[in-house]
Amino acid sequence: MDFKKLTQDCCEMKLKALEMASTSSFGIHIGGAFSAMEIFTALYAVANIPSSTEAERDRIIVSKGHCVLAYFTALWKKGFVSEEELKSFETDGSVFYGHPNRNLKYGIEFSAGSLGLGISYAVGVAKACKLKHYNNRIFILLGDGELNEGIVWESLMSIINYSLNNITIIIDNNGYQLDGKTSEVMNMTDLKGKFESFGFDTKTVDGHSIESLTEAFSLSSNVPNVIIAKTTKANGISFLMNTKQSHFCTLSGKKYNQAVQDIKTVYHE
Amino acid sequence: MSSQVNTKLLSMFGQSGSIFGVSLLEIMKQRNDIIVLSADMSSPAGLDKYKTLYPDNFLNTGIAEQNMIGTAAGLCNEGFKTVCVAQSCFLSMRSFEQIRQYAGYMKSPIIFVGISGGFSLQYMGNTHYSLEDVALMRTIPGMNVIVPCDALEAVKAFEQSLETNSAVYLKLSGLPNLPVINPSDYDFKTGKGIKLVDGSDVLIIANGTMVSQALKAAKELSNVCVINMHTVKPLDTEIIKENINGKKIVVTIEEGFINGGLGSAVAEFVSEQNFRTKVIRLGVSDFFPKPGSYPYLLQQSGLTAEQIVQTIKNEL
Repeated sequence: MDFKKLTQDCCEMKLKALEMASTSSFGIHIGGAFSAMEIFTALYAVANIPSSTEAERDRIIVSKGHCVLAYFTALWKKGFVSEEELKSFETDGSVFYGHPNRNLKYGIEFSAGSLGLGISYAVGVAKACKLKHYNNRIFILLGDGELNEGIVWESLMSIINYSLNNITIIIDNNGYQLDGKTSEVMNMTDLKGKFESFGFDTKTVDGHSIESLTEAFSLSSNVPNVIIAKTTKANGISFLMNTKQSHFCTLSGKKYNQAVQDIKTVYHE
Repeated sequence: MSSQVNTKLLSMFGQSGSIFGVSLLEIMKQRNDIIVLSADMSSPAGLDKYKTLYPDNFLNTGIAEQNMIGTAAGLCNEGFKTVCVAQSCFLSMRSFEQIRQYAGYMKSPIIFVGISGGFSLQYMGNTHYSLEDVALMRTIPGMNVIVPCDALEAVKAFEQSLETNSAVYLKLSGLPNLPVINPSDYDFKTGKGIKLVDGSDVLIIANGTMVSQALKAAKELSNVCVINMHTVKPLDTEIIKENINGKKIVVTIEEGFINGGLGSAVAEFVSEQNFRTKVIRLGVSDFFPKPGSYPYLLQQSGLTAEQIVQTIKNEL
C-alpha cells in the first residue's frame, strides 16, 4: 500500500473539505468530518469497490451521515464524484447537501441523517449478501454519539444472532457530540467491553494513523468485528479541535484561512 | 389465490391467518425471493407452518420493530421482496420513523403487515389498539394504505401488493370468524373502491371491519349507498365523484381515530372539490376508550350498526 500517496490524498481531501465548508453560510458539520478523514482514506484504500454498481462490491455504509465533508471528498478521490459535481455542494437542487442520499452513481449506499438507521440497514444488506453467497465485506461507520440510539443496540444484537461475520463496524470515537463531551452528555463507559460482551471481536486503533487503520480494516475475522478508532474532533484545525463548537459551524474569511494554514502546516506544505 | 375459495374457512383463520397460513404457502411454491421478517410475532400471525417449511425465508428480529424495518430495507435493496409483520400498533408507531425513512424516503417497496389492528386486542388496553396507524401511514409519500374488510380481501390485497413496486401498509383487523363480505371471488384492485349497495340519499364510505357494520345499517335504512373503500391511499376519488351527486350526507366509518384516517381523506377530497355535501366522520373521536370487549369498545365510539343508524337518522 502506497502510504505516501494515501497521506497526500487525505491532505487534499481536507483542503477540499475546508473549501466546501467555506462556501456554506448555513453551517456545516466540521468536527465529525475532520475526525473521520483518515478513516475514509483507509476505508476506500482497503474496500474492494471496482465500480459503484458492481454486485459483489464491498459495501461502505455511512451511518453517521453528517460527516459529508469527509465522505464526499473521499468519493471524489475515489473517482465516483467529480470536482465539478462537488462545486454544487449546498446549492439549491444539488444532490450534495448536509447528509448523503442513496445514489449508486456516486457510490452512496445509504440515505443517512437520522442517527442509528445505517447500521440497521446494513444488517439487511449483510444478510442479503450472505444469502446470495457473495464473498464481500460490509463496512459500517458509526459515530460515538450515535451509539446512544436504541436501534444501534438492536442491530448489534442481531448481527451476532445472525452470525454476520461479513460485517466490520468502525466507531469514530472522537469523544464529542452536539451538546459536549460524550462522557458528560451520556457516559457509555467501557465501550470495548460492551461490544465484547455482545460477542464482537473488538480492537482499538489510532484513528488518525492511516497505517493502523488499513491494517485493522484488512483483517477479516470469523466473528463480526468492531474497530474503535480513537480520534480527535475537528482534528488538525487549531481553533476547533476538541470543542463542541466544531460540531456544526461556519468557516468563513479569517477562520478559513487559518484552518487551511493549520492543515498545510501538519502536512508541511 | 384460485377462484375456488372457501371464504368461510378463510374467515375462521382470520385475515392474518389467511395470508400467512394459506395464501403465502401457495405463493412460495412459485417464488423464493420472499423474506418475511417478524418482531417476535410470527405465531399469532399464522406463520408457524411457513417458518418450518421455509426457514431460509424467515427472519425473527426479536422484539425490535425498528431494526426489523432497517433489516428489511437492506434485504429489499439487495433484491429480496420483504414483508414485515408485527402488531399494527407497534409496527406503525414504534417504528414510524424507520418506515418513513426506508420505505418512504429511500423508496424500498416493503410490505408492512400490521396484525391485530383496531380494537382486536380488547382487554389488553390502549397500548395495544392501533387507532392512528392509517393516519400516520397516509403521510408517507408513495405509501399505499389498505384496510381489508374480510379475510379474502386481505389475501387479495397481500397478493396484489407482492406484485407492485410500492411500499404497502396493510392494516389487518377483526376477530377470528369475522363476517364474510365477499362470499365468492371478486375483482380486487388496490386504489379502486367497491360499491356494495346502491341508494340515493346517503353515501356511506367504510373500510375494514366497519364495512359489515355499514351493511347492517344500510338494511335498516332506505336509500343508502355503501362503498367499501379498502384503499385509503391512493384514495379512489372517482368512485366518490360518481356517487356523491344528490346525496344529502356522506358518512365515513372506520375502526380508528377519526383524525387523519379514512374520514379525513374523504373530507379533504369532498371539500377540495367543493361538493358542498356534509361529511360526517364516524370512528374513535379524540379520546382513549375504556378497555373492554370488542362490542363495548365499538359502543363507546358509536360504531355499532344501531348507533350508526341512529346517527344517520338524526342527520337526515
